[in-house]
Amino acid sequence: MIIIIIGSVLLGILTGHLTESVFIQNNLDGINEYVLLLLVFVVGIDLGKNVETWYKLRKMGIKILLAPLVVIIGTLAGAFIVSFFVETSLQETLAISAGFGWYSMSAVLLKKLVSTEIGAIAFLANLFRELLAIFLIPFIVKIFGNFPAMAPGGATSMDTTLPFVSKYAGKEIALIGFISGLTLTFVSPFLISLLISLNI
Amino acid sequence: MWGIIAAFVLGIIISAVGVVPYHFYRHLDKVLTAILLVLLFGMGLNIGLDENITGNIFNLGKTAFLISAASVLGSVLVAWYFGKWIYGEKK
Repeated sequence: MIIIIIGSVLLGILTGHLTESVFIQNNLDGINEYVLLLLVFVVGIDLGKNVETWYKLRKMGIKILLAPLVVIIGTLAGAFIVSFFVETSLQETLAISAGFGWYSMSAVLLKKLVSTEIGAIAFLANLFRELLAIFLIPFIVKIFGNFPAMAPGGATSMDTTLPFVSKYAGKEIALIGFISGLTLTFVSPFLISLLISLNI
Repeated sequence: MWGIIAAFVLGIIISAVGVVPYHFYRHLDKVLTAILLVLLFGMGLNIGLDENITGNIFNLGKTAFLISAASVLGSVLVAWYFGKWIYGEKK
């Protein structure tokens, strides 16, 4: 599975690098968007099969909002530590990590706010986050249990990594992941702008 | 983003009311994998088309990888630490 996943990304990179097709260049974002909608729709069908999952979640109540909060704290803490070992500044590193895997948005925003280079790093870092989440979720569940499976994907726990959370950690965690991903999607653009505007 | 929420909710609803044919569930894994591979291919296309990224991919990639690995590790550890209290998981 992992080889197939890496293979399709690499094949895409190669095709994109070599292609002269104007159609692909003009319509890629739109097509990607539709495929994403289809993916989420099918995961929804999977989750809707077991309605009892929803009743279990109700007992969590407002506590469910702590899930995205721990993802934010953990992500920024990790970025803080790694900022001493990379060429990007503390502020840039924190802002890049605050993309929470949402590579398209964070890349465009940071390209505008900082530079093309930081935009490109944000694109790759958040793309890697998504891919790392896909690869690591099975191991995370084995080592740390079900709940942390909603964390590595960050904002993508509501779309691309959602089927993996659901498969390895169960439908209940998948729903928590969806809500966490949704919250992070709302928070991310504001947090990135805030971090860049701070004088640190 | 509203589109994503709508697609998700729509999927849950049509599944919960039971209009999805039974054999669709049996092949759900394969369907999901197929869609995901198309999505990842599109993601690769996105990178491949951007000369700024492909021209400099190893340099930028190293920094990017370290940041993403630290983000993943940090978020998993904090989620693990507070998980028992938030979700009450028995493990």
